[in-house]
Amino acid sequence: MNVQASTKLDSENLEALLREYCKTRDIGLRNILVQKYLYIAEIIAKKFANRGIEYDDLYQVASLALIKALERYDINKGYKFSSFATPTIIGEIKNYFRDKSRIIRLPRKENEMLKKLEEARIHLSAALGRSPKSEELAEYLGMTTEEVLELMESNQKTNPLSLDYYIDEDKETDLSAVIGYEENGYIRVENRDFIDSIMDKLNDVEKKVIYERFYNQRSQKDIAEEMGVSQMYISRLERKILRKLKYMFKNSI
Amino acid sequence: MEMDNIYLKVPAKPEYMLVIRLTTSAVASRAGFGVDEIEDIKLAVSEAGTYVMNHDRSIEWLELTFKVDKEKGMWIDIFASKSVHRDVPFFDDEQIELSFYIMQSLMDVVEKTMDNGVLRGIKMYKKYGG
Repeated sequence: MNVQASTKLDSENLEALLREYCKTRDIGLRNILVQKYLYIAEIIAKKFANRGIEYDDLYQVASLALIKALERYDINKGYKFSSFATPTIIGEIKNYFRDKSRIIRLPRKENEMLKKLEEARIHLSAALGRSPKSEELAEYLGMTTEEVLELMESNQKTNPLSLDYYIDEDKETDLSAVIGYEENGYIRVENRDFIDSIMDKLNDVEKKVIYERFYNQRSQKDIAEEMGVSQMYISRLERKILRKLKYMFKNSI
Repeated sequence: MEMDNIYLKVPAKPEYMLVIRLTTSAVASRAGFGVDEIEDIKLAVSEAGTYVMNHDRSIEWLELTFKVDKEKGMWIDIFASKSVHRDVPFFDDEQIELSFYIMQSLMDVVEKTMDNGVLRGIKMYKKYGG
């Protein structure tokens, strides 16, 4: 039997197995099929290697996705299994990248240095029988102590902390409680100051319109009725005042 | 619609895949794609290159055309020096088709360009933010 004939036979066999599995959903059968199709997971995982996540991890993720794909596959829909599995596996790998890859990325050089630092740490720990000092790491790697410390620091910085992370031992205060926020008080004071100073420059009617519209939030129609004028008049007046205020605001800064 | 066109013609040899990949990433970056999208496009383009080359080892060159529409996205056209005949089966069909499924999963549109019913190249499209 030549090679081509054997692969043909194999793929016919596979299809029969798939058909059988889709009918019975037997887990033993599924495991056999996973073995047969594992090469898809391997090929795809390899394509995504060298993007910052270890190949072995990607292969795991791809294999799990393959199982998922098998469980969801329905041969009666008429697609080939590989055409169905590929997007599923790629999708899972991409999700994994989104979840696991670092939100803050280091420059490639620093990433490489971090790997070396980690190796040095393991090597020196074993050689010294204790965890190495930063000076020892620096000497081993041929850089300054400061550089080692900076590297260690930058490693930390790429892992964002959860806002729910407790920062005290009693587990009472979480990070979100102490985190800074934009202080709006000052800008409010400045705005108020500006409004006070320009309101003086408006005449009584204008003042009233602004006051009723924006402090009491009344409608133009409402104000017009009270003042015995048309709503159009208020509308035009309002636009005129706002233009005036805008002009004054621009000139005040 | 404003289109920027970039053309690249390289010998159809595996060692020039690097040139294709680097050009692709530079063009995609100019076009405004993000790093993850660039990685996807690069992978799809190299898959397309290998897909065509694996079909027929007597191809002399590959010609790539990048058409960048600054508002919508990017078309990439990979064109072989001649029609591609499956002379020797290097892999079984399912494995070679896998490349095609990978391209489809990564790009928004993937089409085979046919020349008198025979494969001549691959055309693909990626839109922004998709």
